[in-house]
Parts: sequence; C-alpha cells; structure tokens
Amino acid sequence: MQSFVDELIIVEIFVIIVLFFSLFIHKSVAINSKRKAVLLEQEIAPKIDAIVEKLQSGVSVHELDINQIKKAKKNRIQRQIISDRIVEYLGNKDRPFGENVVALCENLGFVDDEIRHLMSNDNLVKAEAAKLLGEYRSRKAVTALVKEIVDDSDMLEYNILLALSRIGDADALIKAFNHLNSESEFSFHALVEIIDQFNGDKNILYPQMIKHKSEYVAIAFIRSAGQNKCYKIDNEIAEYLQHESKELRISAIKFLGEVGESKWVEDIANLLEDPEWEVRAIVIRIIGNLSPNTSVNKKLINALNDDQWYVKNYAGASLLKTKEGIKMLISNMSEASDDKKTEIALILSGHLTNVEDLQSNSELAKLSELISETLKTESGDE
Amino acid sequence: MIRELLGIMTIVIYIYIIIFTVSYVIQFVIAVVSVRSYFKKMKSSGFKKYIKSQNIIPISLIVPAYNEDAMILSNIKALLQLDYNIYEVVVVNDGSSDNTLEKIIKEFDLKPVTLSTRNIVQSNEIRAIYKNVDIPKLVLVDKGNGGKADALNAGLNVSKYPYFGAIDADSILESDALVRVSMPFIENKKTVASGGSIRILNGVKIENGKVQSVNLPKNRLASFQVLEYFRAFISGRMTWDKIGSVLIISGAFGLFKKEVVAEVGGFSTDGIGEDMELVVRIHRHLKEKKIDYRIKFIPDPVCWTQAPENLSDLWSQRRRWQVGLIHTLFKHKRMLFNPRYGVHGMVTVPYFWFFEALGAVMVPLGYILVPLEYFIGNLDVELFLMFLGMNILLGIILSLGAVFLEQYAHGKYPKLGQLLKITIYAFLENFGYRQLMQFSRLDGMVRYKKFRNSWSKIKRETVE
Repeated sequence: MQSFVDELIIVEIFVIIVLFFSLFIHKSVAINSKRKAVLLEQEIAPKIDAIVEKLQSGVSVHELDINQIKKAKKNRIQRQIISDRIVEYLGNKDRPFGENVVALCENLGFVDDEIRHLMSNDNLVKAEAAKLLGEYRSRKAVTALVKEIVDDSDMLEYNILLALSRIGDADALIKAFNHLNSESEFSFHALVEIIDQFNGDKNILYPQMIKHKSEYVAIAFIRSAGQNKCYKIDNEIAEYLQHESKELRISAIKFLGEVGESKWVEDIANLLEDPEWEVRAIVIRIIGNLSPNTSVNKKLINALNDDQWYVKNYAGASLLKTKEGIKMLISNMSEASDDKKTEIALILSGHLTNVEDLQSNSELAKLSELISETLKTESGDE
Repeated sequence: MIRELLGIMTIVIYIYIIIFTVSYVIQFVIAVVSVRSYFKKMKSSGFKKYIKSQNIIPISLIVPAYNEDAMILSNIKALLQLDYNIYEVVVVNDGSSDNTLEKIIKEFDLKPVTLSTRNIVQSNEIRAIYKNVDIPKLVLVDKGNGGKADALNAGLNVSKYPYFGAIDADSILESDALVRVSMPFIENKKTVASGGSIRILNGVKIENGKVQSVNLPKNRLASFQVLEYFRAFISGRMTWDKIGSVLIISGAFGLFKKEVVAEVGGFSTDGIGEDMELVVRIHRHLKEKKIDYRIKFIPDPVCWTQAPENLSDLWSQRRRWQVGLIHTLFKHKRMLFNPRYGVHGMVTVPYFWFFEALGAVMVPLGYILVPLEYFIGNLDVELFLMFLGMNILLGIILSLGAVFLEQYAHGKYPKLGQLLKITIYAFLENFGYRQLMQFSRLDGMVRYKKFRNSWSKIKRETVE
C-alpha cells in the first residue's frame, strides 16, 4: 500500500512538472507565433494587395510575383495570412470581387487543396474545407461540394449550402437543397443566412425555391426574397395568402407588406378574419403601412372587436395613421357602448403621444378630447 | 466505542474524498477532449459573419439592478455597444435605495413612456418605464423591490424579443458575446438555452465599456477566484455539456428562449439560486413533455464579472451559492435517480447531491475529525499525511490542467508572468483558501432556512 502511494505521489509530482513546463512552452510558442505572424503579415500583405490591385484593374500580373506567393504559401503561417487576405477581398461587399481574384485563388492552389480536404474522413475537416471553398468562390469546387451534401453532419451540410450559395451556382444550390436532410437541425435564421449570401441570379433561384416541397425551405426563401427586395415574385407569393399552412400565409403577408404596393392591401386585409390570431396579428402590424382605403379601414374598425388584445391594439394604431381612420374612430366611439368606448379609449391613449400631431390635425385633437372625456368619466365612475 | 465510531467515520470520509477526487479527474479528461473538439469545430464555424448579419436571433438583454450605482452606467454603456444587430437592453431597477434609478435617467436623458407590456410571467407591479427616442435600444423599468428573480420576470414582461439574456449589473460583456452565445441557437433549432464562460473582472482594464487589457487582480482573494473560475467553467461545465446535461447557466450571463421560460413560469421567486433552478426546471418540464431540446455551454469567455475582494463578501457569496444549490436540489428532488429524466436524473442530479451538496458537509467534517482522531491517538499519521499529500498534488494537477486548457483555448492572459502568478496560486490555494470555501458552503447548509430568500450584495468597484 505504502509503496503504491509513494509511486503515485512521484507520478503526481512528475505530472505537475510536465504540466508546468508544457504551459510555459505553449505560452512562449504562442507569443512567438503571434509576433512572427505580425512581421510576416507586414511583409507579405503588401505583395498580395499589389497583385489584387493589378488584377482588379485588368493589368496582367508577372508570373514571378505569383511564384513568390506560391513559395510563401508553403509556410503554415504565411499560408493563413495569404488566404485571409484574399478572402477579405472576396468578401468585400463595397467593392465586388472580380473573377480574376477567384482565378488567383485557383492558381495559388488554395481551391485544389480544399477540394482534397473535402475528401477527408473527418467531418470537421470537411466542414472547414467547405467553408473555405465558399470563401474562395470558385466554380471549380461545385461538383465536389454537391457530392458531399449526402453526408449527415449538420455543420458540413450548412457549410456546403453556404459555399454553393456564395459561389452563386443556382442549379447546384437547388440540387443541394433537394438533397437536404429533412432532419437537419440548423435554425431558420441559418437557412435564411445561406440564401441571403447567394451570389448568382436571384431571379432564377427564388421563383423555383419559394415552391420547394419543404415548407420550411420555401418560407426561408420568401423571407430572404423580402430582405433582398426581390419583389418581382410578388404574384407567386400572393398565392400563399390562401394557403392552408398558417406559416406560409404569415410569410406571404410579411413579404407583400415589405413590397409596400397597395395592390395587395385588400387581399391582406381580408385575412383580418383569419381563424388564426397570429395571422391577424401580422396583418394588423403591416396594414397601416399599405395606405388603407375605406373598405380596409372598415375592417380595421371591426378588428377593434377582436378577441385578441394585440390585434385590437394595433388596429387602433393603424387607424390613427390616416385622416379617414381617425374620423371613423370618432364616429365608432360616439356610437359604442360605454364599456367598448372605454376600451377603445384605453387602446388609443397608448398611441397618442405625439403632441405636434395633435396640434396640426384637428380631427386628431377632437379624438384626443373624446378619449380624455371618456377616461375621465370612467375614473369618475370608479 | 467512540474511538471505533470515529475511526469508521474517518474511513468513510477518506473513501468519499477519493471518489470525489476521481470524479474531478474524470471531468478534467472529458473537458480536455471537449475543448479540443469544440475549437476544431469553431474553425469550420462562420460565426463572425453573423456579427453583421440580419439573420440573427433578436435578443432582449435584461439587467436586474438593486443598489448598483457603482457599476450600472458602465455596464449599460458596454451593453449598448455590443456587436450585434438586433437587440435591446432592459434595465430593471428593483426598488434600489441608492441612486441607481436617478443616475440612469440622468445619464441617458430618459423620459417616462407608456409601453404596452404582456404579463407572460408573474412579477411585482411596474411603477414606470423610461425611454429616450434617440437611444431606442434602451428601456428602463422601475419597480418595487421584489428580489432578483422578480426583477428578471418584470424584464421578461417588458422585453419585446423572443430570446432574452439575463445579465448581472456588475458584469461586462465581451463585444462579440451575443454572437458567440447565440450560435448554439443558430446551429440547432432545438436549443432553448445557452451560456458561456465567466471570467473575473478585477484587474481588467475597461474603457468605454470595452475590455482593453487583461490583467490579474491585485487582490489575493480575487486571484484565487480567477483560478476557481477556470476550473469551474472549463473543466466542470464542458463535461456536463459533453454529456448533454448542463444544469447551471451562470446568473452573470445566459441566453434563453423566452417562450420556454414563460411556459415554465419564469424565474422562481421562492428562493435564491434562480439561475440554476430555472435551468433544472426547464430540463424537468421538457423531459416530462418528452420534447427534444438542447441546453448548451460554450467555453468562450463572454462575460467579465466582479469578484468579491474581502472575506466577508466572498463568504456570503459562497454561502448564497450553496443555499441556492440546496434549494434547487430539494425543489426538484423527484429527479434524483429517476430514469424518466435520462442522464439528468441518473447522473447529473445525483452528482450534484452527492458531491456538491454532501461535499459541503463531508469535507469540513474531515477537517474536524482528523485533529480529533489525532488528539485521542487514533490517527495513523503516516497514512494521513500520504493521503493529504496525494490529494493536494492531485488538486494542483487539476488546477494547472485548467490553466493549461484556458491557455490552449483562449490565452486571455497575455503575459508569461501572469501565468506564473496563476500557477503559484494553484499551489497556495491548498493552504487555507480551499478550506475556507468549504466552511462557507457548510455555513450555507447549516443556515439554509435563514438565507434562502436573501439577495445579498457585495461591495462593487466603479468601472469606467
């Protein structure tokens, strides 16, 4: 027993010494690498910048310069610096990249290296390769990327979709989405991010994908189309206003709301009678921005009787946005029962905070007076 | 007879401590594997692009504040500068008796507003809500004192986004903290909560709410805590994350899906330790409903928090943690060894009962028994010294291992001298500090009833 404990103590002391020295060696190496990376970056970055500048302005680059970079790329730290620098150029949205910068990536061997890594057995190595291939944006990688989508790693699936989106090959991306595992766990936000990054012809991609067999994917494309102002597909999306899926109806309302054209205002307002309150809530949020007409305002007045507070509340807010809406509110309040009148007054009082509006709009001032009177009477009764 | 009884008790404690230590060694090994694979995974993750993206989860940051006038302004300024596109900061003044409310109103020129709120969870009545149209991200809520959990619930009712982060008023977030902690939600739609590593703010230079340089605290007590936090966050929580059973998301900073928190009734106001209690309740609720979900811990240091610098504050903080732990474990005692709750019921909850709760009694008992045994001549001194030496050395290994992992994973402390200092503390903590902390936990066990509802404060230093 004693000899065992003695040996254990010796082993522990040995481990402590090893850990102690490993810690300091690791830190020293890290400090040194960081210092070295800064120096190397100062040396190599201007060379990359000069080459990219030439390529962007259509001037041919001397083979010797390319070979110099190729040679530098053999060093791990320099390779990272070169790759990061080029990716920075390719990712700069203010100054769109040229195909010649992508060609530089191919010429330097970055694309081939990552295609090779994509064949690895380790899913994390594959995922990193897919990420980099997306950043290099070379069409040369499309076939290899599509081939790997069958794999069952979420991170890999995500990076491949993102890579194909960045490369901008609509057909490949559609193919990849069709292969997408229905059990994929990445979030809706991640999906929309992939679509938003698409670097090709959106007019080919969106019309097909908003009709995707997976509702989840279709909704992501509708959201992305709205965010990217791809309004040409509004007719196709408007068809979803009558769809049996609540989520699709909501997506369509949001998209058409963003388009902002009054031609859809009636169709959207009809959904104020939708059985699902979430749908009504979305309609009420956006309808005020779509220049509602008399018939829409009537529907908004009806919505003041909705059983959901949220819907009633925003119906009031939307009506306050137009002169006609305000007039209708005054007339509705005058005819309403005391309880209803108080409820409407409470709703509206929360939105009547802009004093300037009250001074410049006589109808609004009249309504404000009516609200004050109603609420005063109510508190007097209590 | 008494000699024999004492002898048996001592053996039981020896065995307990051996199992306790082995469990830490296992945790450390699992943590090494997890940290390595996490950073390998991060190489292929494009989280940085989400800093500028619109496709992120919208977050309400809720800051409960009770007598926080020393730190609150720098905390709010830091929060308003985060690298994230869609978020709001909801500060809840929980009936402070100092100038917390007035300071915030004056600094940010806030005006009372009428804001429709939804009572999705129970909370004390809100007195007023303040905003400034030029700072649309900031909302100040004033309410009567009801405790931290109640303040968080009030913040939940006022918040407008579907995800929320609870953050302590004495903490500073890293500028990319929200992106990092939100990544588990982006990567997996089943995620309902996530938390990251917390680090000690003392000694760190903050300017305009941002971390400028990382130094070790000058205060010794705070330096010991730096080491403790390394161990707790990198070794401990990474292990629970690996087996899919994170039971604690630090109250200093965690991110939650609001819908799920509302479903379980919000933060519990019937005791302290609301952070752990909420997470355990979420586990329990979702397991009972057989819903597939994830609660994640990421090792990235995302939040810097002030550590107590005097013994009385530190003692009361640790006592509070222990009281919170016991409160949660008792409240959810039906999870113990209940296969219905999977790994939580069969591994994690029993672990917390056996080591974290019982350990607060067993270890101090050992400190009392050994001298007692010695005085009655019942102690095998040689065996005891060997046992003690073995344990201290193993403790040092685990601490150095945690420092090594921190250096490997983040390297937040930039100088060699800082690492040397931390390693010295790894030796020193075995001679007094650890024992004191054990007794503070025992105090929490003994005076559980007295302290179970107190929301004690530690002395804050002003940070600019």
